[in-house]
Amino acid sequence: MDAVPIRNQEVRVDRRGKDNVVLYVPLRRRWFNHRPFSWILPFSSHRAIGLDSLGAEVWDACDGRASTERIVENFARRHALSFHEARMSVVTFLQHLTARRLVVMVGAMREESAS
Amino acid sequence: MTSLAHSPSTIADAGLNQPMAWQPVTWLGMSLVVPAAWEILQHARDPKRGKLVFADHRRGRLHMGWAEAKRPPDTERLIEDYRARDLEEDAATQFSSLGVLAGWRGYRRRRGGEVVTRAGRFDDLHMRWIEMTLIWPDGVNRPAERRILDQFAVVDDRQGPSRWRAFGMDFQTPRGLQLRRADVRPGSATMRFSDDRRPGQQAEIRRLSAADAWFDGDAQTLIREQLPRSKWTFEQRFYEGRQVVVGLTVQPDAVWRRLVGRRRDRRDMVWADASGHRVFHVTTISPAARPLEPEVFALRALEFEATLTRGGGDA
Repeated sequence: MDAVPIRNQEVRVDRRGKDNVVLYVPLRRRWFNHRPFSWILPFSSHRAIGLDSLGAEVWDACDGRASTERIVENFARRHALSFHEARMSVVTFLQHLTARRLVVMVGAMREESAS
Repeated sequence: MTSLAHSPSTIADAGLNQPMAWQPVTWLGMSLVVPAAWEILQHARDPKRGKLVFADHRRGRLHMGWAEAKRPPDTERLIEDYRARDLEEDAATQFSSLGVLAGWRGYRRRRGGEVVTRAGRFDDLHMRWIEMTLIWPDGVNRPAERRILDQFAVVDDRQGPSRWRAFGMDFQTPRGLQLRRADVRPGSATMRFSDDRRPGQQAEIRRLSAADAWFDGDAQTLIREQLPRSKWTFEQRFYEGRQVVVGLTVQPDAVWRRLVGRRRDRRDMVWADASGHRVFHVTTISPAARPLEPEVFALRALEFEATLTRGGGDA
């Protein structure tokens, strides 16, 4: 819970209204993504991931300073959830973001910054 | 009683003279108050034997267990057995007696910086032995310990309704309805009840959270979604100072039930709390001849209590 989620700086954020956020993650270009193959098959250079309002809220909270515990606390407070209810939702969502390389979890940030 | 936004996160183990929020918990005829940051992580449904486990953000803080007993046990001997067992686990354990505190007998056990309060008492109303284990990772908070033990009470629900205060809900169930299931998921808590003596009578109490993200205020649609193929009729009722929507339909049971005149009616009552963050939902299913109205449950949001702690941590 002390780990700090940090957003992938390469991710482009497209905000489509208040409740709709699309994240574009750059894809690694393989040999078949280059010309002349790309002339025939238009490979996308990015993968798009849509977030609903709750997902966007957690994404915005990953500012590189707030710990997971702090994000959970704020999420719980904002949506009238108990801490452990919010923890299950937020931690699962952060795991998805991490698996898609949208965020990285940095552990023991507090200790490092303290020293 | 001060109603706080559901924000117990910042008040765990408040120190000297800091306001500390407390939440009441009533479960299976036992009533207690615990710091609001301690949440129920494990629960039992059996009034004869089981436990409730509370945890703060990081670890378990309170284990309350109960077991039916035909007669009061020899409390002194029982406590002494526990003490001997603790000593066997770690010979360096230090003990101090709790004495008799609000009917509880027990001791405090110190290992390193952690203190554990272990106390027990007999509930002669329901004939069960109740044990409480409080875990204080950074030394005992004596005012909190005293308050938890002192405010514990056994609720006499043998002749009347049973009160329940847990998972953000405060309600009562008519006599005879037994808890069958309590299901807590992110954003929702559901408790189901049924009556063995009056088969066919059921109730479900739900609290749904993060409503601002999914509930547009249309209670009728939410009710319809429960049984989309049923024909619903809706009415507005006045409940606890607010307008609520009540949906009525026939429970889609097997055809034979209707043929033999055992049709059951279903009533769903839904409303959002003033903040718009939580939606409360009461469902009753009852024989048409003995309607069970949702208002009987007197469901409302659980309120927290803010108090000032006098005295801080203590070894």
